[in-house]
Parts: sequence; C-alpha cells; structure tokens
Amino acid sequence: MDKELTTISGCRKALDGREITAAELTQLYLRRIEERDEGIGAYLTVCGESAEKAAARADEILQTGEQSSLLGIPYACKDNIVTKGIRTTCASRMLENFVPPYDAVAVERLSDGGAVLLGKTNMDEFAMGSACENSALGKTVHPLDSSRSPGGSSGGSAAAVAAGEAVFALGSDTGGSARQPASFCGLVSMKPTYGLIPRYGLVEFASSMDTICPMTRTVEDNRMVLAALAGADSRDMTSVSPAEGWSVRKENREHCRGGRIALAADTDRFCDEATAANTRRAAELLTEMGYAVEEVSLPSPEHALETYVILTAAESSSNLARYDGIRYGRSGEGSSYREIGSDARTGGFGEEVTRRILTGAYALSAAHGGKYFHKIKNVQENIIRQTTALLERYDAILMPTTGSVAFPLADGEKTENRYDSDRYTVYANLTGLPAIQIPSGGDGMLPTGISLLGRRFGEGMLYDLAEGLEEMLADKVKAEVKSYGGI
Amino acid sequence: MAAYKGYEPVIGVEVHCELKTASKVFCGCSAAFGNVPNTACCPVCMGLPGALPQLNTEAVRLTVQAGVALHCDIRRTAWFDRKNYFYPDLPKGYQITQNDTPFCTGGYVTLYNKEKKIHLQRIHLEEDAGKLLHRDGMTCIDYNRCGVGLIEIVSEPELSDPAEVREYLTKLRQALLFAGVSDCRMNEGSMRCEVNISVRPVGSQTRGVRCEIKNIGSIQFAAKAAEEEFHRQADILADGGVIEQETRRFNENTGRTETMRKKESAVDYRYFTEPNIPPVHLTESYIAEIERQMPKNAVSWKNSLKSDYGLPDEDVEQLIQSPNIVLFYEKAASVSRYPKLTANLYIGEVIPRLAEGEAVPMDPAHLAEAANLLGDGDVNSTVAKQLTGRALREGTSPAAAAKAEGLFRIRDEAVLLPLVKDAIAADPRSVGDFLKGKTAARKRLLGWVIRQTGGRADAAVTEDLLDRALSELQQN
Repeated sequence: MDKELTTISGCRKALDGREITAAELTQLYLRRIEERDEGIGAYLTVCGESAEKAAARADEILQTGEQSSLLGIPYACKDNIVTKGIRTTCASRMLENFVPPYDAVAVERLSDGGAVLLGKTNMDEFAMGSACENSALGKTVHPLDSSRSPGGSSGGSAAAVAAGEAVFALGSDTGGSARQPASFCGLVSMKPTYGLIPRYGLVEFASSMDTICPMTRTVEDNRMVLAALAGADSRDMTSVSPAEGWSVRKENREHCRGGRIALAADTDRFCDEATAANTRRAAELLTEMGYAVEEVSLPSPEHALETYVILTAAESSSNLARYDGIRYGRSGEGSSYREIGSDARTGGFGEEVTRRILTGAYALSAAHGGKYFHKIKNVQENIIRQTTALLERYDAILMPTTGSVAFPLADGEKTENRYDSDRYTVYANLTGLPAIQIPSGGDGMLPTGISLLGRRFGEGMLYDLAEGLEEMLADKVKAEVKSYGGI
Repeated sequence: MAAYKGYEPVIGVEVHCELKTASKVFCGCSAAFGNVPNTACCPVCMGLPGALPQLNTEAVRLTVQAGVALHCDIRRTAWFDRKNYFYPDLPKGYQITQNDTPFCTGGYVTLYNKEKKIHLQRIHLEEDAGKLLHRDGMTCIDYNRCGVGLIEIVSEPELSDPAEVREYLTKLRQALLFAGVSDCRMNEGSMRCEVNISVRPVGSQTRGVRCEIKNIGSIQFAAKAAEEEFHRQADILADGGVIEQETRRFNENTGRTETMRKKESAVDYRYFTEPNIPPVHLTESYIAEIERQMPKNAVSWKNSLKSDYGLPDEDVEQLIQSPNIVLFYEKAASVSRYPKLTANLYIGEVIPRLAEGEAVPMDPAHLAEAANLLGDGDVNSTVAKQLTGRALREGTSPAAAAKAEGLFRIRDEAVLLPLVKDAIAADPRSVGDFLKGKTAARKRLLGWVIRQTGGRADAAVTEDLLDRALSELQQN
C-alpha cells in the first residue's frame, strides 16, 4: 500500500488531486481487511456493500469539486457506537444480533462529511476492559506482535488503524479506553472535553465519563476528525459547544514563551523503565521548545483509580439494566419476568461485565445509605478541584499514557488486575478535561505513549503541543518501533 | 374526625398526574392517550442502547405551574435521579424521577367548609412507565405511555377522615384542572392515587404501622378504600393483632383492600443522580412569568361568579368543578338575560350528563336561549328543561324547537277560557268543595287545565281566569 494513503491528509491530497477515486480507495481498504484481518481480528462486522455505496456518493460529490476534509475517507467504528441498519454488538452476546434503527450523532456527522464506514471493530464487552480480551465475539491481536494485546477497550479500532485496515477510527474512552490502545498501537488519540462530541448513540457504560474519541495516525489527522465531530446536539443534553473562537486548526502560536508544563511525578514507580524514560525525554523536548517543565504530584494518586472504578461500576449497573431480553437483544427463557430477565442477563453478559454490575449495584445500595457512592462523589469533586487548580498554574500536565508497551495476551489465563493500566488516563475522565495520547518512542520495537492533559476546551493547544512533540519525536519513534507491513 | 372501635386513622395521599404536554417528557413522541399500542415510541422511550433523554421544557413549566397553583416553594436548582428497578413496563431498568430535589416543596390544599389545610411534602417531575395487558395467559406490553410526563404530589399525613380523602382529591383535582396542568382523568389513568394509612388510639400522637393502597380508580373509591382500610386495621388492633407493613390494592368489585406485597420484598431503588440531564436552573423571572400567566383559579372564578352573576354558593361550587364547565357557563351567561336560570338549567340538565374531563358538547348560546325562554315566561320550566336536554343531545336550538313544535306557554285567554270552563264542568265535586270554602280544591282545577295543555298553560293567566269563573259561580 502506498504510504501516502494511510493518513487522512495523504488520502485527501490523492482524492482531491484525482490520483485515486473514493471507490478505489475504499476497495483498497476492503481488500486490505480481507487480506489481513483474519490474523488480527480488528473487525466484528465489515460492511463492504454500504461502504461501496458511500464511496460512490463521495465520488459524485468530489466530481462537483466540493472540498471537505473527510470526504471519501474510509474509517472504522467501535462496535459500541450505533449504526443504522448495521449490527452493533458491544462485543456482547447480549447484543450479538442487535441492528440499531438509528445512527449515533458522531456517525451521522461523519456520514454527512462524506466519510466511508468500513465496519465495526472489536472491543472489550460494553467497553469494560483494557486488553480487548473481554470480547464475547472475537479475538483481536496486536498488529506488530500477535502474542500481545492491542489494548482496550477500543482494541479493534486501534488495531484496524495500526494495520492499515482503516485510515482512522472512532473509539470510546471512559477511563482510557481509546488512549491506552492508541498508546499500545502507536497512534494518536484525543479524549476531548466531556460533552464536546455528542454521545447520542454511544452505548452507555458510565454516562458521566463516556467520550467518543478520534483515533488516527497523526495529530493533523486527529484535528480533522475532531473538527467534524465537535459541537452540541440537542439529542445529548450534556453536549456543549465551545465558546466562539474555539478551534482545532493549527495556530502556529508561540506557546513556548513563558509556557509551563507539569510533569507527573513518580512515573518510575508505576511504569516500566522505557516508558518512564520516554516520558522524561518528552519533557526534555518540551524544555527545548521553551517550556518550563516542573514535576508535580497528580491529585489524590492513591484514590483516583478507586474513585473511577466505583463510579463507573455504579453507573454501569444502572445503564446495563435495560438489557432484559424483552424488547431487543438476547432473549431469555422462563415463565416469569424474573426468570426470563435473569436467564437473558446471565447468559448474555460476560464475567467482567457481571462483576462490574454487581459491584455497582452494591455501591449504590440503600443498605449502606450511600456510604460508598456519595463519598466517592466527594473524592471526585476534590480531584476536579485540584486538577483544575494545577491547570491554572500549568498549560498542560504531561504523563505516561499507560505503564508499559502492549502486554501479552492472557489467552484465558488469569491476569492480574489490569485496572492498574488506567492509573493515568482516568484523570481526564474523572475531571471531564481533554487529553491527547501520542507515541513517545519504543521498547522492544513496540510503541510507548505519553499523554498531555489540558484545560476545558483546550484541545487546540493540546494539538499544537502534541504536534510539536510528534515532529521532534518522529525519528526516535521510527528508530525504536517496528513498522507494520511497510506502512 | 372519624373514630371506630376507639381508633382514628392517619392518612396521607400520593397523586400521580400525567402532564398535558403534547409530547413525552424526555423525547418527542406523542403523549396522547389511546394511540394504537406501541406506535408512539422511539429509541429514547424504548430504552434502546445509546439513546439519551432530552428534557421537555414544557413539562418543567407545567410542574412549576402546579406548584404555583398549590402554593408551593419552587426550587431554583433541581436535577433528576434514577430510581432503579426491574419491571417489564420499564424499558431502561430505571425511572427518571426527582428524589433529592423536587421542583416544588411545601404548599397546601384547603378543604371545603373548613379552615383545614392539608400540607404538601413535594411535587416532583418524573416519567410514566408502560402498560401491561394480561390476556389469554399472555402478557402484552404497550410502551406508548413510557416517558409520558408525570407529576407526583405527596401530601403530609394530615388527613384524619376518609371523607377528607374525597375532599382533598376533589380540591386538588380542581386546582390542577384550573392551572391547566393535567386532564386529571381518572378513567384514563391520567390521574392516579395511592392512599397511605395507619391507625392509632383516638387522641394519641403515636404513629401506627403504615399500609399503602394502590390501584384506586376514582375519587369515590379512594374514600371508600381509606374507610375500608381504616376499619380493617382498627379491627385487627381491637382484636389484639398487629398490623404488617405492606402494599395493598383496592378491589373495586369487593370494595375491600387486599395484599399486593409485604415489606420483606421491598425494593432497594439504588437512587443516584441522572448523569444524562444537567441540573435545571429556574430563574426568578421565569417563575415570575409563570405566576403572571397563571390561568384564573377556582377561587377567582368563585368570586367573579358571585359578583358578576349574583349566584349563591351552592351553584358556584357546582360550576367551578373544572375550567371546561365554568368557561361554558360564562359564555352562556354572558348572552343570557337570566344568569341564575342559566345556572339552574346547566346544573340540573347538563353538568350531570357530562363525561369526565370532556369539553361541554353543546352550544352555550342554546343554554342561554333556553334560560331566556324560561325567564321571559315563553316556556315553563318543564319545557325549558326538556329543550335544554335536547340541545345537549341533539344540538337543536331551544327557540327554534319551541316555535316549530308549539311549545310556547299559552297565555291567550281565548284559548284558556274554554279549558277553564271545561275544568269546572268536568269536576263538579272540586267546584262544590271550593264553594264550601275548601280553597285547596282550586288547585285541583288549575292542575287539570295545565295538564290539558301539556303543562304549557300560563299559571298566572289560568289562575286569573279560574278565579273569575269561580267567583262568578259564587255570586250566582
């Protein structure tokens, strides 16, 4: 595959320059999926026919000379974002045959922009997990090392882009579910400010933290996807439009003058050596760019992860209550509602989902008078206050995205508690603030990642910072990370 | 206050009213009653994966309107909570309601003829559930009602007599109808109530174990259910038994309450804040605007009916049952020369025949016509009542019908005199009695003439003719 045709900007040039048609580009990607995906397992559903139709429409529009950044660009969508007429499973037996009657707002916006949906990607069931191993419907492996996990829960989306099976992908992130797999697979992923991308059509895990995220090869591409997705929609009351002047366009502003960056302290404690070293290297580069970099302790490091775990479990126990097998989804057997519902749920949900529902129901129970849930809400408030205060003093907080390179697949063996890989990423979700993951280098020829956490609606500045680092780290990443299939 | 076997009841009432919004509270589906099952549904109210609620601001406005009508404090910042439980009519597995921050708190309802006020705990906004239809051993689910906006109005346990339950519900319904908040049709389920009762020895300040009665279909049944339950509990205690806390239902066929579920199976609702709806902030000016635009309430109507038309209290109470009823009266009275007669015909002939909550299916001008015919003496009251009834049933104009069918009162002496003479000739015994000084006999003669004319003979003219004829006889 032509290297130029692996990024949005590369494809854009080729499409606008009439070097290739949208139909040809889509064919190229569909072929690629056919050739490669059996060994990777990124997709749960490939929708070739509708992709070809969408590409043909894109070609018609291209003929008119209309310019649009995503027109004719093939993409993959995580299977917890609903697509009209295309089955949306959340990688769960519960929804194995569920065909939604409507499109998510994000999908609608991409369709309106002329992007071409190639298919739906594998994930941890209902986005609960960080290795893509909690999928009930398929196994996804890391494109660079089939013994390893692509990360999760948006593992399929990450693997699809990394393996050149999609130009970009939509993931979702409730505690790091897009940034961690992006880190494992050497991609860029922005978790935008909560509410910036409407959630209508994103299947709920923990509503107060769920965020749709663009997953791309480059920062430039990521800007383009976010630009197409951002802005309030009446169907999601928590969605917000940023103030006038908000932009993800490259500003070329002089960030360096007087800029201050906080570097998360104690990375050695929670990360392996190379990841910590690569994070420090990024900090040095920021210093070279003219920023004052200072080490700070992240707020409530001992509680952030637990807060995330309890809050998301509580919300998910309620959000997943709708799956009773009555109106849609897996049916249950029995002679009463209780029996039918129990049967549908027991057989429909995997172990991790069941564990979180039970944990969450326990946390919310009136039996202990809100002791857990209300207390944990207070801790969250504290974390928000402290993080916001930090971001008044610093332009952004630099941290490793996750503690290591992609971990080996467990293949059914018991794994240690993998919540720990969410240690850094959860801050963006607990606070609703934006964070961007970019590759920081490699370890054993696999990518490591760093994240920058920024101010509310500070996506523009995060992109600029990330793009500066991306440029300065390009050679390092190239040298330290294996390339996939010549891409 | 009711007492039975030395016990008295402590009663609280919870009322659910469906709001009169065109669409549901969290989506754009029709909130109308009577649609074909499962045709007024969408991804949001069916709880499809990924669908999110969009708050209907009209529902918030009506909730505040209910609060204003019932003298409540209106909360300036409120949010929604999830009440989690599994039931087949509840698509999301939770109901969106307001647990922590009801829009309205405090407030009261004043009972009739008393200075007694029943205070309200709260009025909150929530969504309705679907409907289960059991037939042929199957259960069908109609989701049309899912997501229809409801307000729940919770009274303090201040009712001390089953009769007060009826009064409370009647006055509450009246206030909500006049505020334009709900249709309050109990037969269609747009108003539903639950009664909570405990009993205690008369005069005691203790609180007994409380039972909750659901499934009550009318205001009359609510009072009946309260009484039955009061007696049931008092009987148990009088026999030395104990009351178990439970949820009971009222059986309309037996007139008794029966067990639905005991306390052991009480549900843990796992309440928490609904994350999909940001807090709602109501500004002072928003509330002031609602207060300014409140429709005329029952008390104002009462005063204006008394001052504008000089109607007595009994009539006024009949007319202010609902806005439909009073608005119709006002239209009719404004074109009638006889407002009191208009009220009499309306209260006697029209109001008792109206279906609950319906608009009056009649031309107000027709009611006025009937009253004018009666007031002008053109027809007598029997005819006026008949003409009013026909105008209601058939839409006929009373004046036109009276003319076409010759129903006018007969005042022509040339017509009446021969009849008077006939009466005298036909009933010599009464004449004899009268001449002997038994004046009651005169009435029999008069009645005979009026009967001969189908009631149309003018009583005054006839009496005059009769008196003249009788005095002639006397002189002879």
